Formats: sequence, structure tokens, C-alpha cells
Amino acid sequence: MNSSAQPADEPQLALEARLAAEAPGLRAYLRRVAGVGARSAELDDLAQAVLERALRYRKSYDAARPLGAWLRTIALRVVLDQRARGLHLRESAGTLSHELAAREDATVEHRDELLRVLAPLSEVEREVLVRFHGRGETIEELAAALQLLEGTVKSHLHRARRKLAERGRTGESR
Amino acid sequence: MTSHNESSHTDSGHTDSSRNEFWERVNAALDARRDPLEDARVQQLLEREPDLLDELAALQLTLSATRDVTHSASLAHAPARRRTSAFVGWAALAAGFAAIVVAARWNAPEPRDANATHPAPLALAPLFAPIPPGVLLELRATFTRTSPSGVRIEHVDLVESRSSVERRELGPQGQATLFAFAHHQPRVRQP
Amino acid sequence: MIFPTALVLLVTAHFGPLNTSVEHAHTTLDVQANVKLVIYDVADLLTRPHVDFEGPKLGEQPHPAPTSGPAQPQPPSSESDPSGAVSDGGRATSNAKLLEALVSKYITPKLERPAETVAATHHGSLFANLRPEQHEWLRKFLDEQRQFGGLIEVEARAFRVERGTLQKLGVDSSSMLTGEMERGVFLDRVAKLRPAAEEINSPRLIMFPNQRAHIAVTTQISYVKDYSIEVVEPGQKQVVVPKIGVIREGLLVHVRPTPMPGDVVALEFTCETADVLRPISTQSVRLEAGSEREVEIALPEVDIAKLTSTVLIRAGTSVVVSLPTGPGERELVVLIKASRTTSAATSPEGK
Repeated sequence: MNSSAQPADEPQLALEARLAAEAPGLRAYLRRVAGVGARSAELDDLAQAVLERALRYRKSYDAARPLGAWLRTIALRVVLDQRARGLHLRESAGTLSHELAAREDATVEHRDELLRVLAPLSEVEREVLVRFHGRGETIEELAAALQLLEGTVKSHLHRARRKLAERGRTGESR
Repeated sequence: MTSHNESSHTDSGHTDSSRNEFWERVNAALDARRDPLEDARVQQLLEREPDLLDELAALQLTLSATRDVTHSASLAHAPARRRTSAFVGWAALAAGFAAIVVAARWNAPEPRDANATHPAPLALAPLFAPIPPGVLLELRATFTRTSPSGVRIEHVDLVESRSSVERRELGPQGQATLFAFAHHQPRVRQP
Repeated sequence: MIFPTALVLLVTAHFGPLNTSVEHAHTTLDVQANVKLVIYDVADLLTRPHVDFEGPKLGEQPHPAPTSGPAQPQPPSSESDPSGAVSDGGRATSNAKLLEALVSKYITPKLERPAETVAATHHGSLFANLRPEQHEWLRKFLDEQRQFGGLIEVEARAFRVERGTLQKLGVDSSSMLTGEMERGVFLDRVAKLRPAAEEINSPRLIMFPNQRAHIAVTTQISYVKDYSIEVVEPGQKQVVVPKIGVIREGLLVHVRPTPMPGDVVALEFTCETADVLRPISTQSVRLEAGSEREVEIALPEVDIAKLTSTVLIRAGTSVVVSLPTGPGERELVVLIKASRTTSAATSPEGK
């Protein structure tokens, strides 16, 4: 049983060389995405996180796919994760993650926190959203269960998502 | 591609048409349980309107929490409900709880085929904060595979974002007959 | 401790030729961007007991394995006497090198210019050419080493997780867990993800500051790597003698904690795993040219993954680090926590 590493070496080396070449462009892309207020050090950290993730998951890269597109997807995920984490911390400061004494209490608080966040939705919007994303039911199943047209289910789902997304836009979370 | 010949500006400066197109595509992807970030047009729109990331992040956060809490409420075996029992379903969600369960990412974790379409349960950002750069002083990994034909060593520096591969092969008499070394440094830190 | 200028001159006068170089260096460096030479008395720090336990080596063993037994501490220098005791001179030299290495590694702001240097001698002096802010850090650092009279407890829990499981644990590649609640959440998730995530080992070490210790969870595999033909008496008989190779596989964790100002522990640690790929392939070879007789030798392949990290851990905080995807299908995740103890079990000096 000989080592199978040799055939993979050349593509891997080529990928790493291309990642090195992409670094300046990556930083510029992150500046556009992260916003004009992003500091240089923050951009450095983001770029480092992107390259680290690209190196970590390099075996998932398909050489037939443009490297830039793959890197952009990773970059967006990194920025998205950062924004979600920031939002989570702002909303839970003093109540959720850092001051609870027991895991059971944490779960109860998660549930209550979710109730509060979903409160702006109508009943049917909540029902559709929770069952689609929480329980994994399909749109067809929801339409049958709720005696609605599939298009109507979609409309409720889309409206619910837009309302939830507004949290990131309005002053509630900032 | 959708045409943007007509547009109106919101108070924040975003074009309504861009925003609408963005959410059309995001909703279509989520309905199909795909990762919206895999959509090239979504990427373009995010690049053009970075503020949309905040909205997407807020949505991601809530949907992931929905998954967590719903799983913990043990609703998996609950029967399908009619519309009139929507309130009951909501009450069931509110009533149950269990230990915190796993959250997945937008994409299926560790996609081996970048072109594969995975059902994409919406995901939360990593639950725990990353180690700040000033706290993590070094993080390096070395992988060595030793076999009768030689040694292959791979170094990865996760703080400096660089890696190198070194390979030594042995000839018939056991001497090193080939030495290959590659070192690539995607330098990120700006002065 | 800061030595005033007059005392610096006194010391340099005592050391003869050093006098000229120190004065010269002091004068020269004064004109270079705010760098000043100060000599610190660190003799008290160099005489503390300090034994580094190096631990075994993973992978192919260089010599046939000795009989099993606990790892022995390595003498810090070649000056150890045959009885195994370590001479004071040897210990001081080793401690001086360690102190110098620790200062160079942790000093803030970092040593950037060629003029900024730190050098320790086994006589108990630390020569530091530094900027004022670096000197300030160094004073606090040395004070911390003197004032810290307790022990440091390090808990390192190692897990093997399937690829893709890391994110389910709520970790990106490395994370910081603040408080016992988050630590509990992480461990709870690990438990729920079994068998995709399994704990390998959870050693707990209580050690002196700046001491290097290790935990090894290993097994040894012996295999026939070759044969030789030897002639034995009486009768000039030829016997076939197998050459045995030994591979040590398993998990090895090294840690070295350093107390830092502000109730922080700087933790330098290494996690290393070695795995022999199974099944081990074999090959039939002929004992000698012209002989029809064949024997089988083993051709093992060994994967070694090593993670080296240094983190600054505040009291009550844990860090999670992981090895990125390697040749194998599993990742190594380590949860590390370090805390100061107020144990009365202090050093033999009684501090």
C-alpha cells in the first residue's frame, strides 16, 4: 500500500499559489463587503479568517470552478458569520450567553428569546416559518396541513423572512 | 439577469429593485433549501449593497435558533396540524424544551463536491467567539506521512496564513533521490 | 528590578572586558530610537527547581524500545552527575535560556528592531536592550514570576471528530469559551454528537510555573522491517535474524504554562497524534540473491499530526483549537483550560 499523496501534490501546490495571488484582491473585496467603516486591522483579520478557512477546506475546492468565486463565497460566509455573531452578542448581552448559571436555564432562555424575536410575525407566518425551517416540513406538506395554496404558503414564508431580516436593518439590534 | 433600468432610492440609498431582487433570490434558494451565498447574483448584490449582509445575518441567526429550539421541543413526532390549530402549534413550541442541540451551517458541512447541491438547513454562526488575535499567539500544524518510499511533510501556519509542503523520496538504495519543497505565503497583514 | 545607571557602571567595571562592550553598547544604543540597556538581577529566578519532562517520541522509534516504564525527566544539561542529580550550574544555564526564550516570546511590544535584544546569563543577569514600554513590560513580567507562589492547573481534553463535526460543536477553527456555562455547552454538544465526536483523553496536570510536562497515551507496535543472515557457532550455521522496528502511536500532549500579569496564564502546548495506517502492507523479499526462500517484511505507513499553539488564557476561560483537515478523515480538537491554584504545595524553597 503505497502513499497516494503524490498525485494530489501538484493540484494542491497550485491552489496554494493561487490563494497567495488572490490575497490582495481578497482584501479589496472584503473592504467593499465589510463596509467603508471597516478598519485596516479588521480587514486583516477577516482576510486571514478567509484564507484559513480556504486552507482548511481546500479539498472541497473544485478546480473547474473559478477560484475567485469560491473565495468570494467563503469571504461572504466569514463576514456573515461575524455579523450574526455580533448581532447575537448585542441582543443577548447581559441575559443569555454569559450570565446564565445552568444549561437548562440557557435552553429556556433560548426559547423565550425566540418567542420574543418571532413576536412581530402573524400567527400563520410563525407557524409556517417554524414548521418549514424548524421541523423541515416541505411547502407541499404545509399547504396540505394548513389548507392553503402552495403559493400562499410561500408568500407567508417570504414575508416572515423579510420581517426577521429587518432586525438587522432597524435600530432594534444596534 | 434582471434589468435595473428603473429604480427608486430609499432613504438609506439602496435601490428598491436591487433589494427586491436580492430577496427574491434568497427566498428562492431557501425554499429549495440551498445556500443563498452560492448564488452568484446574490454575491454581486451583496457586494453592491453590503448593508444587506446585516439583514441576512439577522435572518440566519433567527432561523438557526428556530431549528435549535424546535428540535429541543421534540416536535418531530407531532402530527400535522390544521390551520385552526396554529395557535396550538405555537403553544407546543413554547411549552417544550430540552438541552441545546446542534446547529448546522448554510452549506452542508465539509462539502466534498463544490458543485453538489446540498439541502441547506439554515445555520448559525459559530456559537463560540473566535480567539482574538492578541490572545492566540501561534497556531501551527504539521502533517507527516512516513512510508517506505519516503516522507511527506506539510506545514500550515494558521496565524500567519501560510503553508508549505516538503517531500523526500527514497531511491532503491534508500538514499534521498528527490527533494521537493514548496512554500507559499499569502501574506495578509498590512504594515 | 531596575538598576540605576551608577550600579550599571559598577557591574560593568567588575566584569572587565564586558565593561567596554556594555558601556559602548549603552552609548551606541542610546542614539537609536529610544532603546536603553538595563541589566536585571534574575539570580533568584534561575535557581528555582526546573525540570522539563520531555516525553516519548511518536512514530518510528530510533532504537529498539526499552522495557515499558514511566518517562524519565531529561537532565537540563550535560553536567549532570552519574547519580542523576542535576548540578546547580546546569540548572542555572537551562533556566537562563528558558527565561530568555520566554521573555523574547511574550514581550509586548514585540522585539522588532535588531537593536532590541534580551540575553540572560547563568550568573543571574538579564541584559535587556529595549524600548521604555518593553522595559515596563519586562519589570512586570519578572515581578510576576517572583510573586507567583502557587501552581498552575492545566486541563487538556482531546477529542477526535469526524470531518464536518467541528461546526456542529459551535467552533470555527479555534474558539474561546468564556466561563463554565459555555464550557458546559461545548461538552454537552460533544456528548450528543457521539460517535461522530469522541473524547480521547482528558489529562489534568498540576505543575510549577514554566515547567514543561506531558501526557502520553500511546501504544507500541513492533514489526519486522528486514532480515539478516548471521552465521552462528558451532557448525557455521546460518540463521535468519529479523530486524524489528517499533512504532509508537497514540496521543502526546506537552504543556508549558507561564504566569503573566493580570491573572493571565500564557500556555504553550503541543498536541501530537500518530496513527499507523491499517492494514499494514507487506512485501515478500528474498533472503539473499539466488535464494528461492522468501520472507515477508512489513511496510508500515504512519501519519503524524502535530498542533503547536500558544494562547493567553484568562482565569475561567477555556480555548478550543483544532487541527485542520489532514490526511486522515478525522480532526483533532483540544479543549484547554489553565488556572492558578492557591495550593500550599509550593516549591521546595518554600516560597
